[in-house]
Amino acid sequence: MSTPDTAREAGPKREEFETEALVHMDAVYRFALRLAGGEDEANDLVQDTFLRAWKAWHQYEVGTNAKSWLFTICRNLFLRRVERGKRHRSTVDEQAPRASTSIGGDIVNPLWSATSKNDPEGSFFDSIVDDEVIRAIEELPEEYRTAVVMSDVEGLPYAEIAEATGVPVGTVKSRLFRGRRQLQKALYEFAVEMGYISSDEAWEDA
Amino acid sequence: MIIKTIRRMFGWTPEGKSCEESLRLLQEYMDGELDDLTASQVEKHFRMCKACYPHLDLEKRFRERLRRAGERDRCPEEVRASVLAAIEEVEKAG
Repeated sequence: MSTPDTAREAGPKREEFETEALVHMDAVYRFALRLAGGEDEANDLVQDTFLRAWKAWHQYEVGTNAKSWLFTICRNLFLRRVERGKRHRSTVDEQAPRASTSIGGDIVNPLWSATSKNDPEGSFFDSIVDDEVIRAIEELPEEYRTAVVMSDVEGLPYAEIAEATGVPVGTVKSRLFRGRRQLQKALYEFAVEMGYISSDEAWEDA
Repeated sequence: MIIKTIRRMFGWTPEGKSCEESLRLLQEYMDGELDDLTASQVEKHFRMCKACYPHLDLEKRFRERLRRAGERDRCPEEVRASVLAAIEEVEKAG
C-alpha cells in the first residue's frame, strides 16, 4: 500500500479509496477465500473487486459502509462466475422451512442437549483446529456461508448483510440461524469422531 | 424454587425476560440486534438464571471459535501489490 504522502499526490479520489476501501483488503480477501474455496480464484476475485470498486467509486457515499459495499461487489462477481460455469445452485429452500428449524421453533439448541452432560461449556470447540473449522464453513450452502462469514467473522449488522445480499432482514436472520446450527452439528460430529467429546447423547434435530 | 418454576411457566420472572423468551432472543442478543431495553432484560435474565447462562456461554464459545479461525487469513502481499498496480494503470489511462 502506498504511503499517505503518495496517496495525497495521487489525488483526493485515491486518498479516499486508500482510507475507505483498501483498508478492507484483508477482509475482502478472507471473504473471497470463503466464497471461492481456493487461493487462485480468491486472488482474482480480490483484484477484480477492487478494480470494479475503483471504477464505481463515484457511486459510493464516503463514510458509509465500505466493507459491506465491497462484499456486495465481490459476491456479485463470484455468483456471476459460478453462473457462467453452471456450478452454482441454491441448496437451501427458504420458501418452505421446516417448523422445527424456524427461528424460535426449537428454542433449545440441539448442541446443548448433546453436550450438556459431558461438556456444557463447549470446550471441545477449542480442540478443533482452524482448518477443520474453515472446512465446515466452506461446506455450508453459499447463502448460509455468506451470512455467517459476514456476521460472525466480519461483524456486519443484519441490515448491511441484507443490503449486500439483496434479501430482507428476516431472511438474513434465518440464514444465520440455520447456518450456525449446521456448523455446530458438523463441528460436534467431528469432535465426536476425533474423541474430543464422548457422545452419550445423540444429536437430535428438534 | 417452586415459585420460580411457576413464574417461568407463565413467562414472567423478576429478573426480566422469561427463560423461553431469553433463549428465543439469544441469537439477536448476541448479534447486538435488540433494542436497548430488550437487550438489558435479556442480559439480566442470563446473568441471574443458572439454567440459561450455560446456553449463552456455549454460544459465545462457538462464535469465538468461528471468529478466530475466520480471521486467520491475510491478503498475500503479491495480491495487494497487483491490486495497487492495476488501479494505477487504470488511473493513468484516465
